[in-house]
Amino acid sequence: MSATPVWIAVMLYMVATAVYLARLFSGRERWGRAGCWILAAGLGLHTVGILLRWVEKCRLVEADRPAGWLGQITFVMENAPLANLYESMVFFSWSIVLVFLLLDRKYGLDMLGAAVSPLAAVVVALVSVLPGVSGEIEPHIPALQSYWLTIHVVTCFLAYAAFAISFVTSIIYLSSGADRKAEQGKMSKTTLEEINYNTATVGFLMLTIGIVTGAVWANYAWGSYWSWDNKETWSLITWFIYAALLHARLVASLKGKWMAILSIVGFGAVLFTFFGVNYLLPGLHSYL
Amino acid sequence: MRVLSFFKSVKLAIALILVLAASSVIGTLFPQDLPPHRGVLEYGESGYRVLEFLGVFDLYHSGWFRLLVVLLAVNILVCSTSRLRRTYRLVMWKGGTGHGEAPAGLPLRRTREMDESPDVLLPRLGERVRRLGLRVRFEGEGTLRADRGGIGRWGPGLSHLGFLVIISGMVIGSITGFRGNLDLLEGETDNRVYLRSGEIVDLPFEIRCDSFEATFYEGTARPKEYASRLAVVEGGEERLEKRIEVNDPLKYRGYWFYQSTYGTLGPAPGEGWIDLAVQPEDVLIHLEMGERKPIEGTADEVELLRFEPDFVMDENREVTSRSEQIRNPAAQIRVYREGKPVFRQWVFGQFPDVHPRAEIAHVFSLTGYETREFTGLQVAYDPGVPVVWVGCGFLILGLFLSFTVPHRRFWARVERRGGGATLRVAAGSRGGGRFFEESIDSLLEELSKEDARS
Ligand code: HEM
Repeated sequence: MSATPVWIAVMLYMVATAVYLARLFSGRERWGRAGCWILAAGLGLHTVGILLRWVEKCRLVEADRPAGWLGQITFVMENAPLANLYESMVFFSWSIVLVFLLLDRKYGLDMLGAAVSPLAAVVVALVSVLPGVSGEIEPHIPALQSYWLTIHVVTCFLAYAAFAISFVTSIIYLSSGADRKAEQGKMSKTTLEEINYNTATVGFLMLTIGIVTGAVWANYAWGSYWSWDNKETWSLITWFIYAALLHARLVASLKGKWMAILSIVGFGAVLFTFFGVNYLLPGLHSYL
Repeated sequence: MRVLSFFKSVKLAIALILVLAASSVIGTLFPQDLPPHRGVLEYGESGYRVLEFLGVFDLYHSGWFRLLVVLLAVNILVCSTSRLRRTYRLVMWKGGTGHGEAPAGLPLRRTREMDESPDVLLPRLGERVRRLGLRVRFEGEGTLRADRGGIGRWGPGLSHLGFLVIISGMVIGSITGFRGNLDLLEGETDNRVYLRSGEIVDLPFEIRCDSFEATFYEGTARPKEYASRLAVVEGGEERLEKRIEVNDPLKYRGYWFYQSTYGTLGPAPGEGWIDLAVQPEDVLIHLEMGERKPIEGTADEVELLRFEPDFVMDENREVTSRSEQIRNPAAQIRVYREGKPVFRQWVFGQFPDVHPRAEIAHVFSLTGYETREFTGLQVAYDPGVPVVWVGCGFLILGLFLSFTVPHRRFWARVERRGGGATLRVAAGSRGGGRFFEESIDSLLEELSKEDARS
């Protein structure tokens, strides 16, 4: 039941893609605004889908619902729909759209809409393709019953979403010509650099909070805040790459190009942290 | 001094950070903590020796990885401390160029000729700048300066400090802390923690397990909760009692006790019993550990020597247990004929009759054994943990300051020139300066318009 609004949202993201393409080729800003509204409508439905699933998950373990408002909050937080690959992909896509719309308000990114909207659609569509991904609703195993986990997962995915936008920006940056001035209907390289930097800072801040809350959780669950588990290590690798990116901006000779290259490499590391570790390397996070 | 300036370089920082990232990748490609015999099997004798020398099997504790971290720490320390003074002077508007000149480090420069006199112009400019949210101060002699968000300048320094504090916390933990296991049967009290290195640490108090329970989601094998009721006993007195579960440990005097595993123990050396069925005599023998009993109806006797909960044979054909869990229970017995030992044999709970011996004419099978529930606690003692959390706090706060509090500065000087004035403006912002510069330009535009109107 909760899947239906999400799939409608995915269709809206595809429609938004077409509208954003029209914006790119016609050069009319009105199309960009239309795309933005369609994305926002999709995000609304996407949110409804996630909330419905959240309610269903809480219902499933209704018998364990504790008394008292603090207990209630903890209970709801612990049963957030973020506990397996299916749920996290749906949330990842949601984060991409949310972060894009927020940054669009601030920095005017509608030129990127044609690349970001299909990305959001593809991420959800992947759940039906990837092996071993089940949309079935299951109660959480003991290690996952922690509200630290919820904060951890939410901040990590917001970070990944910001990095995804930084990635798209970097691809456009590297593929646009050497001319630093804005051509008709295109963004200037300086603007792209700035968007790249700003999205990377948002992502870096979120990833840092994500890694720290993950460490707090691990300290409660496993008795060690850092155990060089593969997923942990890959998130640290990702963090290092974006730290290098932030510093590249301080060195004039590395600024634009290296920021773009590191952003692309960094997003590769994000994807590996997310998928590669699950499919290729063993570890404590093997359920997520 | 040479060395110091080497470590001031941001390029070095970028290089070190990327080398650390690349090295960390290596550690995820090789299994960490690989037992030597498995390594030799996998990579060959000499291959294993080379890889072992390079430290790839315990990469994150290897000498060269630690050296990289130390170099990065020195890099950060030198770089950050050498910038403290500069940051202070920037925030406090200290220094700069000569009298009446714009301070250094403000990239946006504009000069305008105005018709109105400085006495009108300066307050008007001040009001507009104030509306941008900056704090305005008039310096006299027609000079104005305004700023906001000076605290943001301290952001990178604070996040660098946080990183250093985290590393210090990790060092403290690895020198003074330990991590190990303590398995307790229900009702048992113990204070001996087994570290992974094989060492045993005696806690200055004892832990008693009053009960253990594992619950499952109804009708499934999906675990819902593992919980142990523990008590801290110190000097014979009970100090603390707590029901711990996964994600909710017991903490006492800096020691943390986590619900880690649980399981069922079989008979241990010197205690416990098994039930042994013997065919074709069709008798059942209850044997205590080390006990020797006759097989009814024959002249033979049987003795219980050993029990292993998870029988395996290692590469030297030595019998051990793969785990403490009862997964492949096996009992070793010895058969005596006319008082003399004739042979020994392993009897398996899951594979009856794997080694029937024709010459003896008895077929044994393991039909039962004593079981005791135990709870597996992980014990951690790490005085570095609070230090790490403080460092994380600095790091996150520093990032917030760096990214969300841009330090904006504005400087203007109005000099009388004939009936009008010359207005010189300088401005700059740390991080994402474009919007600020645009707003300064439009401010000047409006000011000029107003000037022309009057
Ligand atoms: C992994 C370790 C490091 C982290 C997490 C880190 C983090 C940061 C962050 C978040 C910023 C602010 C960036 C911005 O505003 O765009 C920054 C700035 C800076 N970092 Fe690092 N850094 C690290 C290592 C280093 C090292 C080793 C150096 C040594 C050269 C260094 C030198 C600088 C400098 C010079 C700045 C600019 C300060 C300013 O804008 O006033 N960083 N660092």
